[in-house]
Amino acid sequence: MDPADFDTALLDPTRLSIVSLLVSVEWAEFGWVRETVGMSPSALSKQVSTLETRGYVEVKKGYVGKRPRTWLALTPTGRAALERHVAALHRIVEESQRAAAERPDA
Amino acid sequence: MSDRVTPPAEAARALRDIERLRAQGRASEQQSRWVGVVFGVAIFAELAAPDFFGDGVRSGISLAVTALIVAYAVMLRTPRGGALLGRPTRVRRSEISPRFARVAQMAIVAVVLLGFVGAPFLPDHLFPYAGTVAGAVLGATLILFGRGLQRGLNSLAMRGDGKHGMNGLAHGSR
Repeated sequence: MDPADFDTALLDPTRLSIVSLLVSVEWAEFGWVRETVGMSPSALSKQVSTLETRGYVEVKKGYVGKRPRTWLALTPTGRAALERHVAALHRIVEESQRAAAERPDA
Repeated sequence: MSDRVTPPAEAARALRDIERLRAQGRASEQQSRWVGVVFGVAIFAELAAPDFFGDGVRSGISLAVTALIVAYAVMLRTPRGGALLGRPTRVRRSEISPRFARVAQMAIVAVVLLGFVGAPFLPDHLFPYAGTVAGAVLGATLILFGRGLQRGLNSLAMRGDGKHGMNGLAHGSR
């Protein structure tokens, strides 16, 4: 397996979790992502900043009433990166299954 | 780029985690109880009002309920509106099973057609305060079981849908 198939940003399990969570939604509130992933606000902020810098996640800020809110959304670039990463993971699993099946003692 | 090569077991676990989180995202659509209460009261008002104030109020109430539905639909489309409704996320439409969407659309059209075509054939009053009773039952159902019904519909809408939206996420990740 060529390591170049993997996305370095998504090799981090936390960042992979954030992107995986966002793939099925158009947007998600920062608070919901934080609760679901089980992180502190500052830790999540740091990871989201990294993903935002790479153009994987879009961050929108606004107010609902007087309360500030932050929403996260996966960008098409982020989605494509996750697709490539998942395809690379699938290849590893399939190659391993094929190797196991071809082994004479299997 | 990292030189690290993911071992198969780690890759399989990562795929399972991705699928689990994706499913969590799909199941995240929920809203505040007050939304169900407002719609429950609206249904009750629509059905019960003619019993108390005569048929003259029917069009006014219908207009108000339609405006409520339109406002709700518009709010659903924006993060700020969603937050007001108590919705932390909006699930991608591509995550909804096309079969479910078709059935739901047909059901809505059937209900509307039945309302227009069937109404003139119904007797005016099945029994005294029939509209009030129907409104109370439907409104209470929405208020008490609305969130449960929504969860059930959501799981029905997303069920077996792992193959839509994103290639490679669905298979081999179990």
